[in-house]
Amino acid sequence: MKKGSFYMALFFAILGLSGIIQSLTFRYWEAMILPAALSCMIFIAAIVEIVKELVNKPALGKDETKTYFTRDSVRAEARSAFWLIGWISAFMIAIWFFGFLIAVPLYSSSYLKWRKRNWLVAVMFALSADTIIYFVFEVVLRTELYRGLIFGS
Amino acid sequence: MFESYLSALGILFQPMNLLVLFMGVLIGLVIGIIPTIGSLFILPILLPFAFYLPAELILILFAGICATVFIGGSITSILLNIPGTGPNAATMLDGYPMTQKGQAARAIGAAVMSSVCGGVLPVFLSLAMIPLILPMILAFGQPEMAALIICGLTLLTMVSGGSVTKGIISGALGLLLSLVGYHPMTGVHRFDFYMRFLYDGINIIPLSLGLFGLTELFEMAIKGRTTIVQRVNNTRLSGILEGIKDVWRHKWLWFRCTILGHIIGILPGIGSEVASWVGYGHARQTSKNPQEFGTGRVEGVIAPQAANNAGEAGDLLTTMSLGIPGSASMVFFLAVLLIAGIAPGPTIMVDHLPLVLALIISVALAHIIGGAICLFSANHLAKIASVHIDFLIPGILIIALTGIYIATISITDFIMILIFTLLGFFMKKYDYSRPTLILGFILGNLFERYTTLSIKIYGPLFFYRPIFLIIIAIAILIVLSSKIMKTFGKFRRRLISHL
Repeated sequence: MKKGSFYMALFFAILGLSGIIQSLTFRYWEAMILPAALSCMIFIAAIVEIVKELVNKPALGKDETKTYFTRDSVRAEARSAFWLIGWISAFMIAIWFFGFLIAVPLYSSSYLKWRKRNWLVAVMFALSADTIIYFVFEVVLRTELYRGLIFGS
Repeated sequence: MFESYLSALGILFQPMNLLVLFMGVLIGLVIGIIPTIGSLFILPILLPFAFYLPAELILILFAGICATVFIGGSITSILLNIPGTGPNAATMLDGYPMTQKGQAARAIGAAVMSSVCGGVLPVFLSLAMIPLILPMILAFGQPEMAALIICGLTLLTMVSGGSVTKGIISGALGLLLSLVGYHPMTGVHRFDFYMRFLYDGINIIPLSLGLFGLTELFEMAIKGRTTIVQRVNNTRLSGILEGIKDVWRHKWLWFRCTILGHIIGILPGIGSEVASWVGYGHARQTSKNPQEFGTGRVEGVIAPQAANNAGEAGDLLTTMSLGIPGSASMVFFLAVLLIAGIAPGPTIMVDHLPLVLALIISVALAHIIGGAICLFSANHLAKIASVHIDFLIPGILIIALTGIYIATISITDFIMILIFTLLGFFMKKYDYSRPTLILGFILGNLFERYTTLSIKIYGPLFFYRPIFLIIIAIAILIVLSSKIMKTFGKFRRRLISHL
């Protein structure tokens, strides 16, 4: 059994079941019929996947699930994923508070420094990115970029 | 009909549309050259522009990108032994050995010429097929439209890789996600948990960007792709001309692979990867020296390039005429139509025929322009492959987030992108089909509308119509035939092992 596949199928089974329960509360049949049918399909297909995962037992003496998080490459991958989600979330929060024109150079220069690029490259990239998005969106497309909670109106 | 063709040329040859087509060609070549990313990466990132540019501009841009991405991909396949896109992997088998033998220019000339001619001929075939398809399309009613959507989702489920149950989960989830928000007929809140930003449903932009664009970026960053630094061989004009002559010498092989690629392109849900391998396999089977394939045979470059480029016009025809995407990238064409308020499906061929014709002709023009650029600047273009991931990630992320804000003017969509990026990442990791999900999402509201109207107009037995039953029979046949082929394959392998 692959742990990740099992949990993914379980997630979809729970999603399907919640969909069925929610659909039954919709007042009119026109609103209920398709969500209920689709949620049933997801639930049944997910159960089939769960059964397949449970039936595919690992060879005697080897338990893939126990070794999953002890392999160095997988741990490194999980760590990279965690940091990347953090960076992307931080970028989005920075845009929310400071707006695009401040968040973009801050994010891009700090990302490049984190990746061990030198200051000149980081600053040049940050300024170029800011100039390009300003030119393309505000000048050419005449759409105002979000100024952020702090600097916006 | 003739007036429609003239209107199409009028649409295409407007200066702005030609400029956009040229930009699409350049973007397609660059994206094709950068290894491991393809049209599925760039199309969702450009999708937000569909909110404030005319649909025809975006569609022409997308047509330019899709038409030339495989031409660009052939450059890195031949020069660097790295497939620019998945379908270019077959080109690599003989393309790189030709480079090793000092015949890089010849290989590029053959690949580009084969791609250009392979991309142009099917355009004429598609244009000729349209008058034959139109009467069939006019016979379609709401039940038939619903049946087409079921058929399209079934096809994509079968060919998307992963198990059938995973494909069903993806398709059903896509359909379910499209139902979030107010029900248009009854006003019932569905799955929005009374959150205001979900009242109008989930926007296609965060969904597609999260599932495709940012997922690919995520994976590249996590896997830590490093710079590709290889010396690029010089490509002399004399070598390129030799490659062009090779296509003429093997014209019948090129012609057969083009027809094969076009037929595969027309079949919904299959895509160019299959076409390129079918072309390569056919070239090998019909060669007098099959054992020399893989050592630098020019036929091994001509055949897959012809086949995978021939699929584009057929792809577009199926997508526009039936509303069923010919390949995963065509799903984004449907997304643009949805954003522009044009219902994807057979009615486009009646209401917007000049636009459809303009798009198909633009594929031919894009191939010619892309081919000309490649022939004269191949080794310069190949240097694009050395762009480092450290610059790609912030660059693409900035464009993506700016584009999505401009399209939706909603910061809450950033949360949706993050959720869909995680969903896309895990779906890709565990072999759940993302194209099927997004197709289900695009067609979900239409499917509900057609089904509800069918029940109201024709009653519960709305499916008791000949065309509906034929379409469903085709869907069942496809499911059964894949099972039969798998069983036959197992039986054949067992038989061979016994002999």
